[in-house]
Parts: sequence; structure tokens; C-alpha cells
Amino acid sequence: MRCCPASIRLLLTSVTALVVAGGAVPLQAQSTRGAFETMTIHVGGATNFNRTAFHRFWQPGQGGDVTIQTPFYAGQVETGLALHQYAAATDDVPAFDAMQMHVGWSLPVTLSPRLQWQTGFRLGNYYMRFGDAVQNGHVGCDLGGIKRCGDDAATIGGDSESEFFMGLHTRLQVRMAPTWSVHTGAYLMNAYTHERIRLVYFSAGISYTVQTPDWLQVFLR
Amino acid sequence: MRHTALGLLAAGLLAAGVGHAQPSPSPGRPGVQVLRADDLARAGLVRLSDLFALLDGWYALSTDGFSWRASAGGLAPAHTARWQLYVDGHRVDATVLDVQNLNLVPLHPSQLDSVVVHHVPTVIDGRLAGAGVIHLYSHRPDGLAARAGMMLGNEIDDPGPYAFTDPDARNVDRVGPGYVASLGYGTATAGVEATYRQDYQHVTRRPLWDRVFGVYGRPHPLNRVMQQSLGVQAYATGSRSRHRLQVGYTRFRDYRFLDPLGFEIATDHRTPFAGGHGTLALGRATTLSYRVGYRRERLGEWKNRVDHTFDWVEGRGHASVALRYRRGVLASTSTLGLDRRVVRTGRASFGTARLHTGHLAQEVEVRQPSGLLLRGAVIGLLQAREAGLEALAVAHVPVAARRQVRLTVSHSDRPAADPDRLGYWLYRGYQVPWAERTAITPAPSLSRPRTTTLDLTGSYAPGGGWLIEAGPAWRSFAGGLDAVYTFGFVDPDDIFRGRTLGTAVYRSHLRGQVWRGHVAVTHRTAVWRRHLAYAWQRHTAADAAAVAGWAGQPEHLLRVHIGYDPVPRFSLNARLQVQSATAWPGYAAADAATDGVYPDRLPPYALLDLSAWKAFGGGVLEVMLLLRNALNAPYRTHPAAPETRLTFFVQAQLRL
Repeated sequence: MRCCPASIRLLLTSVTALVVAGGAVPLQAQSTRGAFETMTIHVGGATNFNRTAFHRFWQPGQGGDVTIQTPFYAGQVETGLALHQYAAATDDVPAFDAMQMHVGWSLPVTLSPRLQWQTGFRLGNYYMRFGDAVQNGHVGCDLGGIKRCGDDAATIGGDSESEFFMGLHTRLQVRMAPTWSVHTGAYLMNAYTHERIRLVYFSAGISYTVQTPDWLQVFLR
Repeated sequence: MRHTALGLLAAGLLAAGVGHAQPSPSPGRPGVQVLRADDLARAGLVRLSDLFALLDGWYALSTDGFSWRASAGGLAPAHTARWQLYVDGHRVDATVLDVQNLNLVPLHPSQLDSVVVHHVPTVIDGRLAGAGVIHLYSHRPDGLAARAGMMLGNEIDDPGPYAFTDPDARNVDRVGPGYVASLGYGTATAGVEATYRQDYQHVTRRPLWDRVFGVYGRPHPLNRVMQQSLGVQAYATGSRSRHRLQVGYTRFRDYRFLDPLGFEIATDHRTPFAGGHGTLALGRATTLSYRVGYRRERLGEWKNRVDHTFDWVEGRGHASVALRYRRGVLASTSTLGLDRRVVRTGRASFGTARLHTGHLAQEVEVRQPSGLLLRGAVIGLLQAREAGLEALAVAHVPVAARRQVRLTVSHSDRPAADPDRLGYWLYRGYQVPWAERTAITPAPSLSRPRTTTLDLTGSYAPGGGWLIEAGPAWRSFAGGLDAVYTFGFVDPDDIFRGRTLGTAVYRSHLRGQVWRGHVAVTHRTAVWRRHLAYAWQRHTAADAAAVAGWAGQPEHLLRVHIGYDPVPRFSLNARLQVQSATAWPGYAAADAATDGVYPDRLPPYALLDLSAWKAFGGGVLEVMLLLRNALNAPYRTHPAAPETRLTFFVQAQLRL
């Protein structure tokens, strides 16, 4: 039987460890009162620092991301958006922009009253737009070996593409004021295109924490 | 090493959670599986066809991931898909070209209150349901109720930006989007609900694409499977009677894979349907019940490279009346019914084929206060010029306080499946694009299918939330389950781009025996839902047709489903399916049509689905994330199907 690639095995092993830990200390035993009590908005910039075969064709530019994070029944959940730009490294390929939409989970560890370290995973959709290439006639309507004109463009994606991604992230957060923090960290993104796009980003930014309104807490719980 | 993660996950999920409150599961009936609303809403289901993965011992096959052919417990070859479907008591023919397609029912899995599945033969509505039954029960609206939902799935391995560096890179399937909307109003005694469901499956995979391209010369502008269903249900309950009505309409645009041909034909079906059933108390001990239904499947026009148009309609209706009398421990039910099928084609040379089947059934049931249940049924059939006889006997014996045994024996000796060559007409209707190029020879004779089954099932509920069910089964098939057709392609040059498919003889005179055994273990606590089912199945003394008929049904099938509900409105689910290799003889046509890419044997595979479900606002909003085939194990359920890989689903439902 064929099994999964190393990245999926790694993720599964991580999830397994968390599930086993969850089974040993059932989540039910934890109070649900803490869940969704606060919301933290992280805003930051990101820059890619690893090198793969992908970089022969594209050079990642600066990126930015916005993430909203809240305590969950165990750990924290988050949802967010990240924007990435990729410049063409050769004349044969177009530049493209990408938007990463994700949900994630992380386990926070308090290192000191002002210092918190979070590690977790994200998964979601990686949406890529190659508008310039089609207009410039690089591949016309035949993107991907499949006709993509007219109705087909609408049904398959035309000059855009979206793909599932999974990743790991880690963040070190330093509280500067009761509601304000600065953070720095890194995340690994693995977009599951036929040739995987595996990028590691360094990120830094600021975070703002607020009390979740009661009505929203009730809704979320 | 490569199974370490999987093993850890299974071990962790199985080991954890012991020590919580342990509500006992309902004892259940051996041979009958009941899925509850909680299981269904949280189990990572996005389409009704996903139910097959939850049914013990059912096998399901597909070439495109949307239309599935299923077989229950070795009771019939999967390609015949003879199992029966009921929705809220209505007998439903959600068929396309004689094969049930669960996804055509205008319901979403989250609308189901429960699903009752018969893995062994039973009698419903005076008919022997010898190949399994799926009965869907939907939620009744409580007051004014509205619902809207959508789902979208993304299978990995799209080319992405590499489409610009690799001209051979191909897109792969996108699943959905699927939508559902319903509006209803109901009280305890009456109600009405309308549901609209729409779903897409994009046909972008190379094997399908090449086959369809070969037939039509170019990709069709709407290169996707599309399904739209609208259903309206109404019910009324009085002190002495209750009635249910349904009307609806389904449109289904599909790339239908025809096994004998080895390639897809694009089809466009429009199917209005209507039905009703009810009961009326005639006295203290006597009840009259009725059930009627009609659907009309019309194959729409379809432009293709040879510019032929289809003109083909199948009408299918059924009506039955049953009188039930109960006195003491004895109950008697007499049923009289009629099924009618008519196939019409617009071409004078094709004409019209009709098939009428009448049945008269007598059931007797003895139910002792001790729990002992004896049930027998004899059904006489009259179909065209031939008669048939079917019988069922069931003994349900409580051997101890928590132990039950059920013995089910059935025998069916039916008239030949279509003495009027109904299947021939069905297929010939689809042969219009090749009418000038294709010679179709119907079978010289059709034998009567004779089937005998024996199922012994025991269940044990030791308490503490455990339920164990196990037992052996045996089936004997003698006589043709399928009609025989010979397809000769005499001029394949342009359509098949130089490939000659030759002549294919479809299955005939299926003969053989099937032995099987199964064990299912269920454990439910307040926090955990765990279910393990293993089935072993082997056919013996099988002729070539039987070997082909049972192709795709693995000898070993293991399913594990684990749900973890740490809080009432959040759930994590894992579903594992492991099946052994399956042989696929008789698909040379498919193999040739795809440049020999597909072997005659499909390797074993393990599928793992992981899902997280969360309800917000007291259930107003439900969101589910699903990783299907999380191990990314390349697998296919049919040699003509492409490999399926990891797919990520997002599903949301809004309820008011």
C-alpha cells in the first residue's frame, strides 16, 4: 500500500500527538468558558527566505497577512488572509499574485508574563491569479493543457488557479501594553500543486487583543 | 515507518476517552444498520453518496466521483445496482439508465434525521428487496424552517503556476460547488417542505477528458457533471390515517460510463417524479396502506460531432395496496402491486418497449412477548408472459438478555430481467451517435435469474455502550442477472482516433456462489463514537460472467469511524477504509480506450478522512472542514476512473 508523503506524515504525527494528548486530558473536562473570550488581531509583513526549484521561475516579493485568533476549547483557533507577490524570474513565465485564506490551530505556551510562544498548523486555499500572462498571450486559452476560453474559463478558473495548502507556523509574542503586542515568527506553507510550492516565510508585526463582545461569544460557543 | 502516523492516530483515538459516561446504544436489529442525525451531521459527509462509506459491508464504485454504483453485502454485482431506495416511505427511482444514483435525491446529508440500512434481504411493500435497502428519513420542519448551505472541494495536484513551465500539466477535478436550500413549515400533524439542491463536478481529469474528447471531437463547453433537483414533500397525520406526498424534478447532465463500451457518453436527463403513500385504519386490527409513484426520465438533446440528437424517454411507475391484519401475536399482510416500465424512442426503427410486472405477496409475522419474531413471505410475480416466485423467511431469536440471533433465508426465481429486451432498448437509445457505425446484437436468449441467500447474524450488547454484531452469509446465483449485448465497432477511425475497440460481449448467465463473513463493533459514550466493521467476501465456482460481475468487490474491507465530541457543538471525526486488491477482468475496452494506462487489477489502498465540525449560534450556522484521503493515497475504484487524491472540502449550512 502506498502511503503519504513526508509532509503529510509529519502533520498527521503532530495531529496524532495532539489527539492522544486530548484523549488523555479530555477537552470536555476543560471549561468552555474560556473559549472565544478574547480576540487577537495580528497584522504583519512577511518575507520568504528558503530556496527551492520554484525560485528558478519566480521570486517571492514581500507579503502581508492579517490573522484573527481566539482561544478555543483547547489551544487557539485562527483565521486569516495573506497576500503574496511573485515576480517572474524568466521571460517564459508570468508574474502572479496569490492570496492565502486559512484556518488554523495553535498551542500557546506562556514563557513569562509578557512572553508567549505559539506553534500550530494552518490549512486552507491558495488562490493564484495570472492575469498578465493570458493577456500577453503566453499560453492563450490553453493554460494547463485544457482549453480555458469562454465558459471553460469560468468553470475551470481561466487565468487563475486555486489549490489546497497546509502549513506549520510558530510565533513569539511579546506584550508591550495590556492590549498591544509585537510578534515575530515563521511559517511553512506547502501548496499542493502538482509540483509542490514549499515556501518558508519570516514574519513580524503587531497584535491587538480585545475582549470579545458577549453576543459574539454566545454565537461562537 | 510509513504507517506510523496512521497507527498512532488509530491507537490514540481508540485508546482515549475511556472513562466517560457511557450511554448504551439502542440494541438495534441484526442485519440492520441505523445511522443517527448526530452521526450524519458530523461524519464528514458532503453528498448523499458519501453514505456508502458509512455502511458496513457495502461496496461502491465510480468512474467520475459523482455517480456511484453500490452493492450491499455481496447480494448483487455492483454494476447492477439493484439495491432499493426509500425516502420518507416513498419508493424512489433515482435512476439514470437503470442505475440508482443517490446524489439525485433532493436532500443533503445534514437534512437527514436517520438512515436505516438493510444489509440482508427483506420484504418492503410486498416486494423482495433482495439486494439491500437504504431508507432515508428527513427531519420534519418544526414550525417555519429554512436552510441554505454550500460545499466546495478542491482536489490537489493542479498545475498552478507550473502550467506555464510544463505544457503537459493538466488540471484535476474540482468538486462542487454544491448548494442546498429548503423552506418548510410543519406541525405535529401536517407540514410541507421544499428542497432545492444543485451540485457540480468538473470533468477535467485526463482519462475522462480523452475519452469524451475522442467521442465528441472537442470538449463540451460545459465540461462538468451538473445536477439540479427540486423536491416538495407534504405530510398529514390524522387520528386514523397518515399520508405523504412528494413531487419533484431532477435535471442531471452527466458523462455516463457505459461498461460494455468502455467510454463515456454525455447525457442530459430531465426527470419529473411524483408519489404518495399512506395508511388508513379500517378497524381496530386492520390497516390499509397504499403506495404509488411515477417518474419519467427523458434524455435531452445533445449536440455532438456527428450531430445526432437523442430522443429517448423512460417512464417508470408503481402502485400497490396492502391490507394488514393483526390479532394477538399474529400479523398478516397481503399486498397487491404493479410495476410498469415503458421505453420510447422517437425513431420509428427503434419503437417502444414495455414491461409490466405484477406481484401478489402474503406475509405472516409472529411476534412473541419474549422477543421471538418469525416472519415469512411468499411473493408471486407475473411479468409479461412469464411467472416467478420469491420467498423470504426470517427468524429473530433472543437467545439471552443481551444477545439476539437472526436467520434470514431468501429465494428468488424471477422471470428473465427483460424479456422484451428493455435493456437492449435502453442501450440502443444511447447508441444514436453511433447508429451508423455500431452493430448491436441482443442476446439470443436470457436465462431466469435464480438467487438464494442465507444470512446468520448475531448481535451482543454487553452494556457500557458496546454493541457487537457478527455472522456468516452465503449467496448462490444461477442464471443471468444481466442481459447480453454484443457491440461491434466497425468504423472506429475518426471517433476513436485510430483505435479499434473490437467486439465486447457483456456479462451473461452469471453463475456462482458468494461466501462472506462480517463483524461490526460499535462503542458510544457521551464523548466518543467509535465503529469498526470488517467484511470478508469470496466468490467460488464462478463463471467468467460472475468473475466480471464481482470485480471491484474486495475480499477484505475494513472500515473504522471515530467521532470525538468534546463539547456539544464541536466535533472531530476520523474515518479509515482499508480494502484489499480487486481484479477487473473484462474491461479491455476501457484499457484500450485509454492507451493501456489501466491495469486489470486495482491495488489495495487505505483511505483516511479527517473532519472538524463546529456549530455556531446554537446551531444556526454549521461549518465543516474535511480532508478526504488525508494520506493522499492514489486510488481508483474502477479501472476506467482516474486516480483520486487528497481533497479539501469546506461546507457551511445556515438554518433559521
